[in-house]
Amino acid sequence: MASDNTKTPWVKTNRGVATCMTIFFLVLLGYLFSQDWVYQTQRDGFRLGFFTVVAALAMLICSVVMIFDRFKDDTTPEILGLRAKHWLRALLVLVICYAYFYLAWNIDFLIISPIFLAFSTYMLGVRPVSSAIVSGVIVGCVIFFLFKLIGIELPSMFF
Amino acid sequence: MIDFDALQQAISMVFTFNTMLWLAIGVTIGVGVGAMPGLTATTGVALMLPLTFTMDQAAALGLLIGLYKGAIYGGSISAISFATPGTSEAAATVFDGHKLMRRGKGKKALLTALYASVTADFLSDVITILIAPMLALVALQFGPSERFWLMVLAVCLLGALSGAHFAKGMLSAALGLFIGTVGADPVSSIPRNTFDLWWLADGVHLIPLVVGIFAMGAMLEKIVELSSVKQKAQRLGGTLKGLFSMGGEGLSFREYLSCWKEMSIGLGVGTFVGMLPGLGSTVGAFLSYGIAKQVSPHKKIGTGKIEGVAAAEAGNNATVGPTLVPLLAFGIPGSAVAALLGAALMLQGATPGPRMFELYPALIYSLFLVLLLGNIFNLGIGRIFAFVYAKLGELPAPLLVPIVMLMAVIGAYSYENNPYDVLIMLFFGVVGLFMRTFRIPEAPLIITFLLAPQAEENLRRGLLINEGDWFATLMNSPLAIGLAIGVVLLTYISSRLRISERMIEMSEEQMAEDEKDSANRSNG
Amino acid sequence: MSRPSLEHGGKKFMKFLTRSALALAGATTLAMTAPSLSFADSYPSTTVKTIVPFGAGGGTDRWARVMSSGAFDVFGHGMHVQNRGGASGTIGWKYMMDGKADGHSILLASPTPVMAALMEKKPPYDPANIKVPAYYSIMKPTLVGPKDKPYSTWEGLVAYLKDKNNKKLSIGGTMTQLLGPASLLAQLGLENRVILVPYSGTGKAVNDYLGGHIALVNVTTSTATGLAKDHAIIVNSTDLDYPKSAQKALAGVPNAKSLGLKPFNPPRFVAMHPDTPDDQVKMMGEKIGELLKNKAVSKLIGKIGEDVVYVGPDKAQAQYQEVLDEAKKYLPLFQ
Repeated sequence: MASDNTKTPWVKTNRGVATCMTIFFLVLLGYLFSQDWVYQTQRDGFRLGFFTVVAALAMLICSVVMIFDRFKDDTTPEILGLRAKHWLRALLVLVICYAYFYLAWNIDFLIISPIFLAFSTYMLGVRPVSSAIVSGVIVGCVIFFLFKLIGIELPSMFF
Repeated sequence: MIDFDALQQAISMVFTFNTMLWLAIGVTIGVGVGAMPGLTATTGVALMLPLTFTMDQAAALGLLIGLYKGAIYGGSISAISFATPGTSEAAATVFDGHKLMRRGKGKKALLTALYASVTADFLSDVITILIAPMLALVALQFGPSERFWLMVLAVCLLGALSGAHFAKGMLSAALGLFIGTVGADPVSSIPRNTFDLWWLADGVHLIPLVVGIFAMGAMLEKIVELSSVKQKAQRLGGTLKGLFSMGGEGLSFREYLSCWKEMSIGLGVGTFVGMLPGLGSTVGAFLSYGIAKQVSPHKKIGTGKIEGVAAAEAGNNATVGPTLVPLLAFGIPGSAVAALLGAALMLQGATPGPRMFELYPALIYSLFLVLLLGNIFNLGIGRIFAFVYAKLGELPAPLLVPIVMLMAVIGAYSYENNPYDVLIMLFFGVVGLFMRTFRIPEAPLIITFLLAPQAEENLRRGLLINEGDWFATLMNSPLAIGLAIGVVLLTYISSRLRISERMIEMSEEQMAEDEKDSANRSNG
Repeated sequence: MSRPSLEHGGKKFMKFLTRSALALAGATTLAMTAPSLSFADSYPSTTVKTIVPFGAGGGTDRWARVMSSGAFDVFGHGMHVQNRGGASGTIGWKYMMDGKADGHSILLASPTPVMAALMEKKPPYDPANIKVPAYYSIMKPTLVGPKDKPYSTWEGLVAYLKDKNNKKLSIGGTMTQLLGPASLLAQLGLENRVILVPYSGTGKAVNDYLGGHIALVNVTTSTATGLAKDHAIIVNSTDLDYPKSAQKALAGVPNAKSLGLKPFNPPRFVAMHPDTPDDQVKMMGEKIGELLKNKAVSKLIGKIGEDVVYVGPDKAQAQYQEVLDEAKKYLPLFQ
């Protein structure tokens, strides 16, 4: 862990991240305590929410400890390089993945998968475009037939 | 004791071209299934079960057992090659395996995984064959109280997996516990902690969780990496050519032998975990890895050591044979795969149970022979796959990342054909990305996610049976008391170890500073 | 000339008109009746989408695979088995409800998704709101206990539980299985003298029973057959006899009918979308009956250790409703 950098913005130190997590877990606990099911008593005497609340409390305690322990000023190289746009990009990737799943299973796996693969490889820097397209088509087909071989039917009208 | 007529009959059933062919097909499909993220041994065996309707006994066993063995090993291939465990039991293999891969020692890691898997699998099969009924009796001693303590003991043993920053390890464990409480209450079956989402009523399953945290998390991290470094346009031609050239550092016999301790730990832990119903190979792998790490701190397992790979892989493959123990001894399937194998045996006209040994001795012997032979096939076929995959792992990231993401989507979905599992997997992809960037270890999360709900279930079951009497529940038998003492001792020892580790660390830091000072002074 | 010719022509025309009218009427009648006739003959007219609300490899999945193996012979079309697992079968059930009432989609259901919906405060569907064309089997929850105890017979068990000096007895099993003895004992006012210990699978419960951690265990027919040699088989909570293959091992076991109690018959049933027209539900029910009678299918069912209990479309819906009411009555015992 890199700890020597004095220019590290506070929010990227363990203490900064732990503070954010503490707030998050406080909100989570608040949400839990506002729920009726948490208080419902079961026939063995346990409340329905007992273990959930214990877990949430444990997470809260751990993040509070992180604000004060000996690693509080440390940070990680990964977090130093991370910008808000990266998180947005990650979220966008997830949306694309779900959209891919939705389309592939509702339209046709063999049409959508090569498009998804070619688009992603191109976006990640494969050039020229023809390489991205060719690799997308090949890989999409190979995966389709591999799964077919195992006995898993992927949705396609062609086969 | 050995029924030689039956054995002879079994040999003539097993050593036929037909059986061998199906065994080879089983292992091949198994390794392939295992290597694909999200597809498990259970899925593979379930898919192939209808095929066995028309096969003869030995061939049916060959196909299914070959597939089972292949799949448990196969998970490690993608764990090492792409940091994406093909099956949840291979998640523990990622830690050391992928680090070795990144250092260009992928082939060595893959071979270690293969040899450790096959060695532990073979030996645990021998143990199963020799003392199955005895093992089964031991397993029966474990009731709710004993299981509760066993789970607590396992969680304590895994303190070693929490990494250098204790609070982060514990946070990860608490998160695992939290996710584990999503779903039906073990006593009343009333849904809890579901955030009012009806499709969470049964909780989060291990497959989408593991695929999300490991595979999706790792790929998202790669994407961030790729987008933060100004990349040169990638040309695929040259790198693809490299794929077809052989090479890479292999594994010497001496290195294989040097892992004997880890393989023994894996064998012991895996055999034990395998015969207890409901624990499974993922627990076997993590426990074995955790214990190996604790037993030999000087080997620095976790930093990319073949010993880590050996411990994890021996731990999961050693559960294969013993899973069948409760099935053969009492007719109780201890796991989903065992239930499917039981169904296959029934289709072949043999109801699993204690009388199997009397009624169908030839079938039992052929089962044993297939168990042993499967390992040899696994060794041969696994080697071929390992080389191919080791090369695939060297694919350039822009091509590899979309492929793994696509496989993660298919894997999460085809586990139960449940579209919500894809959502869960993607959600845990973000959690995985956060854990990676903030360096929160994943192992404690998986372990508490697996064990804490079982500990809770057993504790509350014990309390139900004993009508709320805590003492009777916790100190139910000498075995329970023994395990409880074990927990106390282990906690004490590991806290002492932690303190001494910290002292060493601090003195090392002090020495380094002193050296720096003296160097400065001499320079000055 | 023109007139007669016209007349003649008119007659001709009238004849033509009458004929045409008759033909039209006939055709209309035919058109009205023919489709339903041919529909019945050719039903199902396409592949039957068969939803299994569990993952591949489970009990219901095995039933589906076995049934689909005979579909071509009986239906003239295949059964396309789709596993839609997750959330205790509720995902698959919801999937069927969200689909079309096309008469060619069926769900192979078991009590699990029914119970799961009953447990939910805001269930994704009302388990009562479906059409049930047929039962294909009924599970027979069977209570097993040690041979050397006073409660190794039903009478012994009742007497033992009635004596307040005796400790409560724990019974393990899956929730569906446990509802059987729970309902029998509740009819005698003894439900509070036992502790119902739910397990996620029969195997785990049997393991705890064999290790002596619970007093009694409630199991499936095939498990009971396996245990019969060394254990006492106490009661079968349904009003049905065991299948032939198990009758020898389980001879003389009392059931709800012989005890004069109301049975609990947990069904394996076929479900269809609630908007499916009744005639299609009826035809599907009958076809399922034919399928179960198919030689190859019934042989395979026997091989997987299950037995067919067919309840046709005339009775299935009412029986299902009854089971649902029973389950609702006894589920609070678990909460």
